[in-house]
Amino acid sequence: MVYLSPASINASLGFGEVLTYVNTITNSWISNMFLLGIYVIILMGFYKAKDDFSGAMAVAGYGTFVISLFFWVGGFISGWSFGIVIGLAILGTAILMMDHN
Amino acid sequence: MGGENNKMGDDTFKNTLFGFILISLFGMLLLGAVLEVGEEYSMDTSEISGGVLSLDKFNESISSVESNAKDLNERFEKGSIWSVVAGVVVEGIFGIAKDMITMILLPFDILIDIMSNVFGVHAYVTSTLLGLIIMGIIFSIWSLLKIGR
Repeated sequence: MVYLSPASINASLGFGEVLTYVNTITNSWISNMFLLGIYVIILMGFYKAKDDFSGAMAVAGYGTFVISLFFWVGGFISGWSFGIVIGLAILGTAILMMDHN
Repeated sequence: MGGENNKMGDDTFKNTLFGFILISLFGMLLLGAVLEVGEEYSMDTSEISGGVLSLDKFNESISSVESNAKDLNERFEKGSIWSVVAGVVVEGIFGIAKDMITMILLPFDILIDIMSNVFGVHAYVTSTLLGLIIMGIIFSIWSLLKIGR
């Protein structure tokens, strides 16, 4: 596979051009890793703060869902990745609803 | 102690029932937002809203909540208790329960109409809320009749 040369982008248009370039040559890997990072940070942050894992899963699921919605509309992630995020949000809701403690 | 356990058992069942209904509603709302935003930006939503995450499946799951709750309510109002311990048949009290349910539901009916007409909330959301309220009232009145306080 021939990767696009970094010289082909006009970085003076803004940092968004660089991000789009990086996302394109990594085949959305960077965006997927970014979303995973966001999910884990919110999950662990909420869990350490509140000691409530089911609540942390729900909050992390919704937070990641909102960001991934923008990413998906912007074409940074595939529908498949976005589907996984939606599934995680619904799973977080299910665990939260079923948690009776 | 036993009474506490029974009460906890009832609460757990109610929470589980409500939880299952609300999961479908949350799924429906998430997918609804995805479809709305996706169509606005000309995205292909078929990959997301198909298969396991099908909007139809969530819709099927929650569309019958209100009618089922009303059906449960009708059956509850017609019911009777034959108490082994007390040795009596209690029927008249369900007439009182019916009036109580109607009284409690009236303001919620008005609120849901306002939500629907003024704020444009979707029918499946208001139906689910009304269904949960009806079931919540049935559980509460049943608890009142059973415990007697």
